[in-house]
Amino acid sequence: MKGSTKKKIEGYLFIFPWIIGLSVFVIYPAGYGLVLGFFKFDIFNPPKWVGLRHFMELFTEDPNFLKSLSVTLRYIIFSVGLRVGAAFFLALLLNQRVKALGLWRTLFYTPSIVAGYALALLWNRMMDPQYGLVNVVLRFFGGPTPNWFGSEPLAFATITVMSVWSVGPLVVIFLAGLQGIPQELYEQAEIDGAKMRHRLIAVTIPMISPVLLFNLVIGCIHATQLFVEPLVMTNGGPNNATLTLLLYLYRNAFSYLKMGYAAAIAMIMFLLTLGMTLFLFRWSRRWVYYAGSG
Amino acid sequence: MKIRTPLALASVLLLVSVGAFASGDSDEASSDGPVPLILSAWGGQEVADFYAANAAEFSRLSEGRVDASFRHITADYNQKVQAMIAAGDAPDVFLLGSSNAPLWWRKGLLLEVTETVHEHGLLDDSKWYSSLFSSSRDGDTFFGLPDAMNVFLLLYNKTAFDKYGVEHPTEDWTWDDVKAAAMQLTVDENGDGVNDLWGFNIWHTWSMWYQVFLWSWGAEWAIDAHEADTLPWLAGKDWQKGQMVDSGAAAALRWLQDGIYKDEFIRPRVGATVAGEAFQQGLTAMDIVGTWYLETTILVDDFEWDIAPIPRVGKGDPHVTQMTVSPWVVNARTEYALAARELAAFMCCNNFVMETMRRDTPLSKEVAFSDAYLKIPGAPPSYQLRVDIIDMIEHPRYWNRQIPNGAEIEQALNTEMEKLLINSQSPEDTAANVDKEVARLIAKGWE
Repeated sequence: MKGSTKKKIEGYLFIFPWIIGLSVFVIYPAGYGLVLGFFKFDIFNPPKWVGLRHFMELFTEDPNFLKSLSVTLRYIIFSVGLRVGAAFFLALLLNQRVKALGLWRTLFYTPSIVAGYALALLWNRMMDPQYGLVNVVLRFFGGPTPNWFGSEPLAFATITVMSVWSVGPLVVIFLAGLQGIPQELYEQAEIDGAKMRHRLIAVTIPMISPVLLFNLVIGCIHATQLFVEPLVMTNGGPNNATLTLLLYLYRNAFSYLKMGYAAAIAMIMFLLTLGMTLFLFRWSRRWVYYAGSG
Repeated sequence: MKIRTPLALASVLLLVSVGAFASGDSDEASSDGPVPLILSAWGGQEVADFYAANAAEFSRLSEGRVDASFRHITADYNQKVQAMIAAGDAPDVFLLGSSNAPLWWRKGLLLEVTETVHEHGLLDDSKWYSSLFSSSRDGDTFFGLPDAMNVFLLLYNKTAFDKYGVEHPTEDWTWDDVKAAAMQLTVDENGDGVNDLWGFNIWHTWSMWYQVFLWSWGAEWAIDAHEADTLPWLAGKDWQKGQMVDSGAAAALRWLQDGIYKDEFIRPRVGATVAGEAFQQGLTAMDIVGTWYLETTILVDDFEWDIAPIPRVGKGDPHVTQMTVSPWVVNARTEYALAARELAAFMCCNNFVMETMRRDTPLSKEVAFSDAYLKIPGAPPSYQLRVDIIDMIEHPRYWNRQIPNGAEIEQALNTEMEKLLINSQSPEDTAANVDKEVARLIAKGWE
């Protein structure tokens, strides 16, 4: 046996357990879930083929689905912008040589390890119009004290802003990217008279653009899966203003026992995620700079 | 007072007499050992211990013929039981929310228990609150045995009423009385712009709360068209449309909307969290609650409280409440059908079980009025009202979904109510929209 063949076999043997796990626990359920969208299925009785009926119903007869799609798309746009922007800004700050840097980094990462359910409950308390911390502070400074879940735009905005709370992982990725930028580039820019703003635009952003792309892709996928916060904090309300695709999928699957219909929603979520990712990669050709690619 | 009914003994004798543990049919068990039965329910650890003790008692009474054990399902109950059924590993007997039972029955997941009901004489109205069985009934067929019942009542903070010189609620109270009292009880004590106490409370995003509230306003949502003692939930006489427009519903909805935005005595929406805890924290003076809520309210020692009937529109109007009944159901795929049915009957109606429960009202009238049930440390003066109210109302009304797409209808009601309560929709439009949605979803039929 040739050495290269042997190496290949060894490689496959090493990844074999992982491939088994991926096939059984990810690929098969995901594929089955996608196929299920063409069937009427209530989990208890055998699936019945309905063709494209679920998809037709989703787009022509189901205003709740269209609303949840709209909510999810808006959430993706606003929350990804906010999260990536906030993470980049925090990473820039945490990349400075300041005292107790380790402590600051830990502090900003800590919210990310809090379970989503607990976080949602905490925010629910904080946003209480009468007794919540946010309004208490606003009242102290003489500001307005809105009912954060009392109107559609405010409820949506509250859930969106809340997403910034857990930017820790994005910050860590940005930090790693920032620390990989050669210092010579900054020194050279300084010699050329570039100020901080110019260094950011001409050096930092181009050099970190692959990381930015990564965070955008991950951020979009993460945002598409928003579930716990609206479930716990608003139950999708008021007037479905925070009804996300995943929450609507959950309702159909487990409250209405419409697994096939829910699977059709899952397929649309999959296509949405795929479409966004492809778009980002295509778009990235125009602005992402890979230093090693020449 | 110790009460003994022969039900437990009868259950076991019945099992023996029909050869339940011998052979044949589906039950058949085994000469090798006791029939294994799994019992499941939701609830906290205390409740789980209670059910486990019940299962052990059933096993004991069977004298070794049955080994019943309790499998506690702590969270995501319905989803887990669904998955267990799909996987063929479901409990033999389990508690099921009344809202889901009709749908599960129609999907063929539950075993009929009609014979069990008749054999134990559970329809004898002199001994049992028999009408409760109607909530798990499809024509002449029964598919569940009620665990116990909850009724809705007006809960009020006596200490706050006394402090602000407001007369306590009475049986004759109307919604005008509630409003007058609630406005007096909405108080900003230190003038910091934050109310320290709200007069009245809404349990947002909870359709059951809205239903009982609307009924009390005379909204004829539930009409006895189906069965004399079974009232369809939410649908009108012909089961084809909602009943919001043809009723006092618009007035009720106006009362709620004005209560928040005009008269400002109702606590505004606070996210999705059920607002019941606000009363126990002393933030609201009045609340409409189910009796399961009393169990934890008894533990509150910051203030005194009591219960009263739900107010009405006019003083002479009939009293209204809503009953929620979660049935014990038998898994259609159990290997031990007869024994499982008897375990369900034991959980439903045995004195050992009923006397030790605190949370809900037992089905046996004898037990319901017994000291064992009513004389509870910390209970308020009118505690017996939770039992008396059942005889005060003209028609029992149940929360169940004996109509197609009940869960979706309930969600639609929540959504329309949200529009009303964020002041983006008039009461009239709310009523019309709910009716429209009910009609649309019922027309889709059972899927």
